[in-house]
Amino acid sequence: MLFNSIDFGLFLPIVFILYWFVFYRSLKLQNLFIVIASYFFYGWWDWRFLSLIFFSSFLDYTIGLGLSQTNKILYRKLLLWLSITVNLGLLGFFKYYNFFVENFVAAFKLFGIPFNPDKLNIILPVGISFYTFQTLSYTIDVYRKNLQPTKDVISFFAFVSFFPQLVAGPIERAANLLPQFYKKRTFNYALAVDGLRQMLWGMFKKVVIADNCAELANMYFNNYQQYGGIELLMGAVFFAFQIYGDFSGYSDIAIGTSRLFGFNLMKNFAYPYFSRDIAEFWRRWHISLSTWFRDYLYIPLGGSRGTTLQNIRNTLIIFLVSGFWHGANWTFIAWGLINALYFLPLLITRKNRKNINITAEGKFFPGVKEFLSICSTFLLVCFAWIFFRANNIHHATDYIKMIFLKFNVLPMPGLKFYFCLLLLMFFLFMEWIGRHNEYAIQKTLVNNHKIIRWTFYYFLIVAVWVLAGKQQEFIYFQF
Amino acid sequence: MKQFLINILLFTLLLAVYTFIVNLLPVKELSGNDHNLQKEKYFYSIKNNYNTIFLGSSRTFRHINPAVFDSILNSRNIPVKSFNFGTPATYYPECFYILNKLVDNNNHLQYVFLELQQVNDIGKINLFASKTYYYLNLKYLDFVTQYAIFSQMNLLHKLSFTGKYYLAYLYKLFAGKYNAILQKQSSGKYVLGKNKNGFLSLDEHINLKTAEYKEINNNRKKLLKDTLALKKRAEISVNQFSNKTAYNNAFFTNYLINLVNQLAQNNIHLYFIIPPRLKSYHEFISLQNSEIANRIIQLADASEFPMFYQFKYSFDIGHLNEQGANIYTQILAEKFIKILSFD
Repeated sequence: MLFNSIDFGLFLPIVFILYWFVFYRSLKLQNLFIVIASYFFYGWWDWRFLSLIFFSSFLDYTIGLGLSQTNKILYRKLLLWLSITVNLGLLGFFKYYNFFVENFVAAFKLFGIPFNPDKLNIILPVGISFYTFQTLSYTIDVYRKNLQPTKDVISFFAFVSFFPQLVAGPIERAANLLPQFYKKRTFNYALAVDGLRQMLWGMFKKVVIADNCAELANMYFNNYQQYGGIELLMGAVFFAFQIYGDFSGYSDIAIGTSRLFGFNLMKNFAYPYFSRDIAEFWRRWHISLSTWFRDYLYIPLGGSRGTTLQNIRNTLIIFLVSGFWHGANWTFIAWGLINALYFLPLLITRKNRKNINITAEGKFFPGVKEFLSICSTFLLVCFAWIFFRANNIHHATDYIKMIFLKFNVLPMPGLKFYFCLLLLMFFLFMEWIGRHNEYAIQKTLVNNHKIIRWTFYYFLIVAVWVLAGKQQEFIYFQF
Repeated sequence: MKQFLINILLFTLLLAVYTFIVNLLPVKELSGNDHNLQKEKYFYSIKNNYNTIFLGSSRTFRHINPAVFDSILNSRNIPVKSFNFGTPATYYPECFYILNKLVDNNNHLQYVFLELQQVNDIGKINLFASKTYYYLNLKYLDFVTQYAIFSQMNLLHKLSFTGKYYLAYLYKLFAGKYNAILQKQSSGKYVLGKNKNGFLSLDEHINLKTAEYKEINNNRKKLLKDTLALKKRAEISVNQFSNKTAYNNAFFTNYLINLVNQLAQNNIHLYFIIPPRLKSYHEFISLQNSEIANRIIQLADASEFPMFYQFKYSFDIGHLNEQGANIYTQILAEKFIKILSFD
């Protein structure tokens, strides 16, 4: 079920009413209802893949119990690796099987060896990368004894399948989300109102910003031979806002929806395009994934504590794996590599934690240096996005070549172009003035009279209805 | 919770009031059917003396050539000047809306040919497209509701079928005025065809390389890949037309009868065409035994018209090519002459 669909528009109020008015007396019933609603939400897309979520949940629940019953290191390690192997095995099969087959065939061909294994027609289960990482975090935390294993099977199943974040995150940690299922939840007016506001902003980002930018980005990327350098550069910029609006919009709707049910999910984006260097960008972009890799891969590899060479190795691994997580294509690996190359100089010169405060804190305008840092970081990010968006490496390199070789003065683009620029100006303005908050409009006009506040919300609602671009699938569904 | 629900209710109520006020704004009318708008513009821009129009979906737009039709009737001394108002994906009740508008604004009309169709089930993807809702009003909502009630759909299907129309209508109330302000026309005058009579065959259209090129070409390729699909469509028609005990949607039949009578008051003769290559004819079979049977021109039964299912006259699975369209129009004209001779 898509958040920006009529199905979800009907599903949400029904679930909300049943949750707070019918099942509110019993915590167990409320949790069971969350599981049922979540499975319904997921099954709406394809009920056959519910068995995968069920299996992953059951496996990690059982392994968690197993870990609680033994202190023998060998057994504990065996259980941990069983969980890792099965979960990543499923992910690998559904997401990467054909990629590996294709590349093996190409590699064998290179050496003149005929190799023709069958390619399978595999459907990628929506959200498998997200819930696999979420359930893995539970097993690893229990193994490390950072978390008590749960005996409450319903809570655990609810934690893995919680519908607001099931298909596109944020990738929650068991330590944050699971305990919320143990506690009796009472309706919190302020939290619910905040949730609705965040949902509205998320919807605006997805439907108005991302979908409109997507139309232009697709146009430039799909027909790049027909355009000049400036237009192609703008194509990359539009894609940057498409993917940001799409993914952070989805996260906002997920976090907002959770708040309606009395849950607090972790923040997933923190105004990444106002970052002053790449290290800051990565602290602000897809935070739930970055911190997952940091905690479960980077730190176990030694983090930044080893020699310079080890640091470089760890950084390369983390960025390459992160790129590969996004999809079974060399373009994602290239994207990861480029980001690693951006990041390494900062790491080596120990400047990677230089910018940890809010951009232009306490000021309305940034300083000249700060402004230039923001712009240069954004351009670097856009350059890397070209690889992320391209169909293959050849497409990406051709696109980049055309930017430099066919550099031109911007011709008169269509109305849509100016319309999108106008939208982006409004969007960036709102994000800039709200950058101290969890999401841009969290405090916008909150101290003003209800009429003024509501007029602003009406304006956003009308924009969502009227200025919506062509409805597109959330990009992150493919991951 | 109480406060939350009260505020939600108040917010929604104010939104409704605000929407109502916006709907009072004197803004130009929304049109969701670009093709039709082009045709209407042309139709009224010239001093015309058209007395005959064809109305329906692409099966009218692509199949009926007014030049052929007029020449056959004129050669038999029947004075006819016709215009093809068919436009892609134009189904009931949108067709009724266009028909009403044309009848209200035209004094010369004598003959109207309306393509028979089942009422369209709105696809989710089109739910909020202006083409889906621009014509909707309470009258047409009543039509789809009654149509669904009297249909053979199961209860769930009836609910989703009508529900989608109501949602589209609500969307129109909310966003229609804004969309009217923002709307831009995308199709060009090419929809009028080379003879400027509203007929544009698919063969001609594909050579124009317009925005629809990709879709037209894909549909053509699909047929080339699977020519057996034509045979299946032919079988459907033969099977269904041989079944004389078809279900009768009483509301639908009465609606069409009333339409005939209503137009007759304006001295307009309404005829219905059953086009070939549909996926179902269930609701039309019983009409052939109804009060309006003599007004129905059946051109779909493959046992009677095998040529309409032959590959050489096909452009894609749902449509004839130009050669097929000319044959189709000729047969239509002959059938019409026969009806006139009986009258």
